[in-house]
Amino acid sequence: MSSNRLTLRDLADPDFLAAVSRLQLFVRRVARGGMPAEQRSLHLGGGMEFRDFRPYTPGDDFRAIDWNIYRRLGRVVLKLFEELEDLPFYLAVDISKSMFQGENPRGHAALKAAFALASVALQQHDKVAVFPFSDDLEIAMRPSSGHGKQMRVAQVLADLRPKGRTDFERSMRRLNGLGLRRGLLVLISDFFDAAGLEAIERALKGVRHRLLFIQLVRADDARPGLEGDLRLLDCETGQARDVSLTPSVRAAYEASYRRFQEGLLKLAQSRRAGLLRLDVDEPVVDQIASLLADGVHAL
Amino acid sequence: MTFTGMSLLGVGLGIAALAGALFLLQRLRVRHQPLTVETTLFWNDAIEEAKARVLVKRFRHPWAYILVLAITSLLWIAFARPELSAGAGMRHLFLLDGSSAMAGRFDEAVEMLEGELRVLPSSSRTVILCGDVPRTLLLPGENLLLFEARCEDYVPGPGRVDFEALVESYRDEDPDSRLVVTIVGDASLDAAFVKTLPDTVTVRRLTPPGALDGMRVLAFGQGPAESGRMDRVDVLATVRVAGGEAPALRATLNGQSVEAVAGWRAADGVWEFRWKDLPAEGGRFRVALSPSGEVFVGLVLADLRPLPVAVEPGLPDVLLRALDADPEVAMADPSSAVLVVRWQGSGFGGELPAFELGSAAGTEDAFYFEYIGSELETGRLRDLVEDLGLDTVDGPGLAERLERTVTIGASPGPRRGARIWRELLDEKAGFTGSAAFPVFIARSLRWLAARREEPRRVAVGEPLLKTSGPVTVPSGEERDPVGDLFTPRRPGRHADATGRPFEASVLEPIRGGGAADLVTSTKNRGWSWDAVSVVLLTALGLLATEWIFLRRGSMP
Repeated sequence: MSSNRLTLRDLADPDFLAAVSRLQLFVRRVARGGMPAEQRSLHLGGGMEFRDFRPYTPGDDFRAIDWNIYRRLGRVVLKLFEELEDLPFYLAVDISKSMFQGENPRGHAALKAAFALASVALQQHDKVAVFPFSDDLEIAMRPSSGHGKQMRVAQVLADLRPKGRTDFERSMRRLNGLGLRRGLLVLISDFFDAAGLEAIERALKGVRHRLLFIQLVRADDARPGLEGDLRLLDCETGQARDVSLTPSVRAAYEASYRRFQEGLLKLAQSRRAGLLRLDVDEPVVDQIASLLADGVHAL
Repeated sequence: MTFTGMSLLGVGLGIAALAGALFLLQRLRVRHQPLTVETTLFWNDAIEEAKARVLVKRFRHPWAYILVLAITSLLWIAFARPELSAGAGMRHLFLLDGSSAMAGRFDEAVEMLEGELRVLPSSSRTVILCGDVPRTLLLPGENLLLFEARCEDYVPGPGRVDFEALVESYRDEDPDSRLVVTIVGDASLDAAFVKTLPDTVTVRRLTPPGALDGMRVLAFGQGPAESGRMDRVDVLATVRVAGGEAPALRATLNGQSVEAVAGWRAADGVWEFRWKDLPAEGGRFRVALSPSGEVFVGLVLADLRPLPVAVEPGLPDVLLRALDADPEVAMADPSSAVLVVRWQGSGFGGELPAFELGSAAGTEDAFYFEYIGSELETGRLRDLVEDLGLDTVDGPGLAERLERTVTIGASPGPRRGARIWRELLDEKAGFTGSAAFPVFIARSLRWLAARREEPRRVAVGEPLLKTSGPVTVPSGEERDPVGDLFTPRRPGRHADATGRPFEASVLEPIRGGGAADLVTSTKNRGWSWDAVSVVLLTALGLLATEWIFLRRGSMP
């Protein structure tokens, strides 16, 4: 597996960094309680940009009363301003064995995507945390912000090692137990959970964060170019499946994969989450850039 | 050891063994090649449809098993060639006509018979070749391959086998069993005999294509003209036909149509035809036996025209008188003559074959002959002596009167030639006064002119009475009987050693009584297609079906 490692040099490649710097990520809403930053908050009040008026209610800050209106109309209304706050980015990166199987593993693209998103967030003064997960979730980097953290993120990502099997339920349970401020949870994975999509759905039920799914895919996922009689060994579970590849078997496989893809899309839609299918054989930043229209994507 | 012609029991046991072996193979685990993949998540559904075959688990693919069993069974059947149950208890006797009437069609007859034998149980068939003597080709139970080997190199010849006796003896071996007698070829069975056969005996005929439409030529030849004219000959043909109507024979002489003068019925189905007063000029006479004219009988008519002979002036009168007395000799100029009579050493007549008179002082042999190439072989000089009438010459008397040894000599040369002592013609020698002298002169001239007495009948399979030297057969090859009489093996145009043509015809040996009208077939019965080919094609079709199902994923 050592040959499948992605080094710090790979992540901190100048071209890659330059491409990443062009990206900006915006979300429509961010949760209250964070640091002032470039993301719009749900909280209206102490910001700089006017947003709306509303009638005064006892307990409101007198400083927000629009005295000009009171003078002209005799009614007490509050002037509301939009607050700009930071957006915590929780990068949950799948490091199960399936992510690092074979040549050009999905894990490399996953780490690059995580680094790209983290870089964008840090440029926007957002906090970034890295939570690698497989059969459990770990804390590789606590929420931190500032441009200086970019190399720190790269180091953390480069130090990740594949292990275990994908277990979304356990991992998300652990994430929920961390008591994190609401933010954007970016799930970067192949979503190959042996328990199936149902388990992923169950796992995400308790997640309060907004979600962005980044699915690592390959062209031959849908049409595997396998031939003959094979004993397929699952790299995570070690489970062996004997199969004689016939057209009908292939068709059944393709139907099963299609159902999985459709199920994942429905899940994303039901959670109003974004879904980016990242082809591991194509440049990562380009695909993220195409996802973020003109470099900016509203979630 | 061979498995061909296997019994049905053997074939059944073979199929059962195949079924068992395939059953085990179907249940054996397929050897899979290990491959590590990122997940088997999506393969689970697919794998449910393609479970590996496991020995101890439930048999999952009965249709696949049935299909492969059908394919292997067909292949096994094609290999084993089982004996069919149809016709069990029935005996088959095949009498293969090997007579000269089958010349040219014998190979086709063998091929047809082989196709017939292939579909019959080997234990019930017997094949007898009926040529000059009966010869067993295949006994019950013997492999068909032997039949082919035993037929090789056989050339049809005069057929003298008593077919009726063969049928009778074979029937008597087991009078109660059903017997099917098949005459393969053109041979006929006596109608009266066939009527006496019991119901258990069936007689049929299998004849190769190109048969003479039921017509058999029993006799065909030429003879002196009935009118008495010396320069004419008559041709006689005796044919046997099925049915009561006279056949319409079409005859030609050198390609010109010639009408038969008479045709009358000699016996049941036997008709005689005579072509009268045909010019005896060596013409080619043919009688077509098929509408297309491809099947025919033919002969070369005798050449009875006078011999144009050039005679050198000054020859002894006794010789001139002998020449003058011969009605078949006509005096001619050397330019139009075919041979010349002259003194030895004179240039009269140039390169023409010559009858010469020489001096006894200069030559050793009283009678000396030159012949062409190999036409006169060692040991055939006696025949020449007889042909020229010298055997009637009083040799010792001549020697005594001439007071020296009288010998006969011969040697090969560029052309025929004859030379005798001049002294033989002296009165004191007594030769010219003997009856042998004009005979010798007349025959010597005919021999020099290569004029021969045409045989009355030249039939395939019958030796020619007088031939010497190699003969060119219709195929163009040269056959040398090496001292024996030449026997034509194929009908058609031949040429003797001097290049003179003669025709050989297929004539059927004459039998007494009428021929039975048998059910005739020109095709193999039953499987005209090779059964093995059909079985193999079926197996191929099933194999293609399996492949299609496999490609569609309907079959593991």
